[in-house]
Amino acid sequence: MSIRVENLWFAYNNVPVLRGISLIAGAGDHIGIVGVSGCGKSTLLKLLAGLYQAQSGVVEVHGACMPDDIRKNVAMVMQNAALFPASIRDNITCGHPMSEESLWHVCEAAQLTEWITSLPDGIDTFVGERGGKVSGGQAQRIAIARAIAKNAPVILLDEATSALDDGTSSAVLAALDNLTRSRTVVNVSHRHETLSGCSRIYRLDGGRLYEL
Amino acid sequence: MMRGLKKLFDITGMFRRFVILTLLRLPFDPFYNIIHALFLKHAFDAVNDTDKSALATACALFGVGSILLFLNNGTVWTIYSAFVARWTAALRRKLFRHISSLSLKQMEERTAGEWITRLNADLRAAAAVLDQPIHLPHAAVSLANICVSSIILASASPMMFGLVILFAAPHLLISQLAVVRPMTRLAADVQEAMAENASDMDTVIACADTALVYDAQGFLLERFEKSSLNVMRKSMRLHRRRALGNGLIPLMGISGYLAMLLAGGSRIAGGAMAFGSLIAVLQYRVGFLKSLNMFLNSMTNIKTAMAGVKRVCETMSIVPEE
Repeated sequence: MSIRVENLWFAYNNVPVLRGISLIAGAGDHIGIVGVSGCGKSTLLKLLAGLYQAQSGVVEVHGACMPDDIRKNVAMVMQNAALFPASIRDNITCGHPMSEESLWHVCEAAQLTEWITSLPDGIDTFVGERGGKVSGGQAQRIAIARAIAKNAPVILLDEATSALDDGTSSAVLAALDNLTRSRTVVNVSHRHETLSGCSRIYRLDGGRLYEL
Repeated sequence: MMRGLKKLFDITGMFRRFVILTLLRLPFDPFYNIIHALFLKHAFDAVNDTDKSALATACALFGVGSILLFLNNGTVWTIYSAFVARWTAALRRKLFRHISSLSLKQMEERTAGEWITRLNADLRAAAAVLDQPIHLPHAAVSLANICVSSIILASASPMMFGLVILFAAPHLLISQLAVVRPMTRLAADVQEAMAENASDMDTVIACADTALVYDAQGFLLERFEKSSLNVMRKSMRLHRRRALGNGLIPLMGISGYLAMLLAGGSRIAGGAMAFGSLIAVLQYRVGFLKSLNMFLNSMTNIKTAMAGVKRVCETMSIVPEE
């Protein structure tokens, strides 16, 4: 069992957002969750990422229940990739040691190699604050490379393909395909069509999950 | 420097009120110096002549004069404090409005830390021109006192005035070259380091979720620590220069004082000068040197504040895009 959520309750200032959610995903499952803005999709993802602690119920990811341990087993890609104001290299490695060979292998999987080799400073190019010196598609692929580099068994995608234009979507989708292949994936989106590759799709409404 | 200050007053307005308040404050130091020197001269002459009533008159006049001067001074500074508070608020308001009017593209060209620094640290640094302990009006006041003391000293005893200048000139020259001149550059370095540090702090907060998932808090905190140390190093460089200026004062001051005592002593022994007159001359020397130091400190502070003034003016000169 890769993900087990049982009777999960979560509230902000006593206003319940998630009401008794239960979800099970086996290894390699691709789960899609759709819902309108503000319905609690991102909150659920943050609980699955170990960024929040469940107020009631169980969240178990790859056998870990404590947030610190859960975080070791997940990688997350969000709609607006949060890049550090540092080099491409530092954004991928996050300051952790990594061989050049592994780094370039990750870049290749994230469809970044061609672009990076065309840059004067290569992989040491500064991405600017909030990724201001790179395009949205490039920032997204750097975030995907970071997730690939972590090699976590569970991948969480938060509207990861919602803001892509036609010019960059194919490269990002190919990168995402490399990231999610043979891993457990939870993909949340407000658009049903972006979840086409998922084996199961749920709708989050009024704090409860309904299988579609 | 003057162009930068003019631009700053063009932004905030209120220049006429500032000039009026400075003019009202201007006579305090020269008058106080004159009253003090005259009191010392007449008091010591009265002690020499064992004239009790002349001594009492000198004391009474000195007391009344001092009270009137301090009343004027207190009133002007009270009004000035309120003026500076309003002036700073006007500057902050205009700076904020201008930054708010910039396009998203212009905002994104600089880091969040840079904007935070421009709205806070730069503004504080620029306002220091008027609100730090020794500031622009002090420069004007000390300059007035230097002029008045010089005229009185030169007419009372050209030789003594020569001695004062002889020992004050090296202090002035070294301070100008080694302390005052590099201040704007050193302060600008501090402001830039602060902007970088604010940006690193912003990243720790804005990217907290990503840092947690990818175990990158250590990496981000290391960057923040590095830029914090850079701010400290740049600030230390600035403070070391200030300390160098302060270290020169006792060396030059005591040497000049001894030389004047020696010269004055021999003139008194030769009957060319009364003891009271020597004391008065020494008092004018004190006024001259005190004002010179105040002027140098004011210039150091103003030059430091100019880094903030330049950055505020630069921000205000960004033309908002349509």
